[in-house]
Amino acid sequence: MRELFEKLLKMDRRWIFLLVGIALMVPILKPLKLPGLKASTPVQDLYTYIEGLPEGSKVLISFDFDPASKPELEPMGAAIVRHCMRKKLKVVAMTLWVTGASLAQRVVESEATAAGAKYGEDYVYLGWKPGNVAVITGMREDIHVVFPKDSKQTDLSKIPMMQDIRRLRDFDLAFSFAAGSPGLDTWIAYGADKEKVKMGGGSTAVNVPSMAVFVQSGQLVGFIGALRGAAEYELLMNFSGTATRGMDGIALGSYLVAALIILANIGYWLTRKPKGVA
Amino acid sequence: MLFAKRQLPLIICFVVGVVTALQDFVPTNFSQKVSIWLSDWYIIAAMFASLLGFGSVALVHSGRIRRQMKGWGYSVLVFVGVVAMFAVGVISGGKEVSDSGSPTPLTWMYVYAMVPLQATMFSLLGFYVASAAFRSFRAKSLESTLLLAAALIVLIGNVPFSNYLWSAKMGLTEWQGIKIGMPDIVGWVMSTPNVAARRGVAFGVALGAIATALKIIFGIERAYLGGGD
Repeated sequence: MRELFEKLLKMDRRWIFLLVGIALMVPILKPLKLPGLKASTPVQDLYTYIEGLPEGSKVLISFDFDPASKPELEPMGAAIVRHCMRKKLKVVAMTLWVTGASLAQRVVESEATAAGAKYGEDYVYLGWKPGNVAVITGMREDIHVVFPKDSKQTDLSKIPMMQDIRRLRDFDLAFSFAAGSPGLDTWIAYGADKEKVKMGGGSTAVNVPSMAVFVQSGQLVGFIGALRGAAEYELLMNFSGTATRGMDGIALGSYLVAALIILANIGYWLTRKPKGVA
Repeated sequence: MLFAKRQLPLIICFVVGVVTALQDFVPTNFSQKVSIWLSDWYIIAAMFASLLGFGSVALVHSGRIRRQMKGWGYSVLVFVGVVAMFAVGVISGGKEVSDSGSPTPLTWMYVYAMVPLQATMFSLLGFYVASAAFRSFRAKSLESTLLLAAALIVLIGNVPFSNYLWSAKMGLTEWQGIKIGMPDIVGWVMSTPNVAARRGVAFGVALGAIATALKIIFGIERAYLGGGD
């Protein structure tokens, strides 16, 4: 047994890569449809809050991520835009990440087209502006100064929907789907908290522990954590998107990593030398 | 010359630092205008910093190519990528969709080169994390055992199927009035020890940032001015 674990602990890491690859690929090729998905409290809270907004409420959505985090954050962004469109809310989308500008536009345009929403009346895409924190602080004073034109180079003053949206505080709800900084915490610290704007959002799995602070303090009305959160939101929205389809891979991958950690620790305890033995 | 190199930056830093800090606590029209004005300056300064950043990257990689250091071919690729993306951006006039409604070469490069390349790089993390966890995540002490236990609980507990097995199949939802469903256990780990640690770190970082900012504003910390005359 000892020899077996010694061999296991010295295993070439390419075997681990292969195992991870298989664990992630199998559910893509043959979906397992594992049961158990249920909306967690922060996701349910966000859904309930949006459901409670009256028609025509103004919502700001900032897609603060780049292509690297697209698989994790795009599904939740799409689900929220879809929900807003379904509820006939006025959506203003933007991004603080230059490499995310096209991604955000695609998500908004595709969901808006599917919902039959009209540009300039039901939704607007402002695009990207450099400055990070400066953009947020500027939007607190005057959005039309920070973004004189939208992504289509139309003057904001000529867009019907933007006539009564001048400042951050004009929004009934703001979102940030963030892969890092600037992101959700930046929006909370420099925008939402200062202007008393309700804030919701989502983040990648690695950022979920950091965001738990804001969920617990009530600074977020709701929160979508990683792909699982997005899958929960899709469940509430009654559709099966890329997040739901990705859950099987997440499950097998997580179980594999957990099994590897447990095996490595059993091996460590079985093969370790007593103190004082060289 | 010494005034321009030493005193002037210190004066600018002091004035801008104090004004920026004060305007946040004075909600008047004037202070708001100052805030917007300073934000514009921040954006301009950030753009120059970006240029400086690119200059630094170019310097490092051109040096690697010149000396033909190990992996210098990758440095060539850095320049090829920058020039190609810049050229395509100029050719496309910075637009993603042409006047005729078709996607421009810029869009093509973004969708078919940048998106898959970045996604691939990030995806590789999953493989390396699994390998690193297998090789180094050991219960060698009480602290590392606690960390390991918390990690396993969150890792396994975050999978919906685990909750299905735990609650629906094994019936583990409550014990002596305490909720012990998988989401409850994971929720406790995330909202109690995790949040406590995060808040501690956040307070520490914030206090450190304030102390450093004050040192820079009042000219005690001058490393940003660079060395020598």
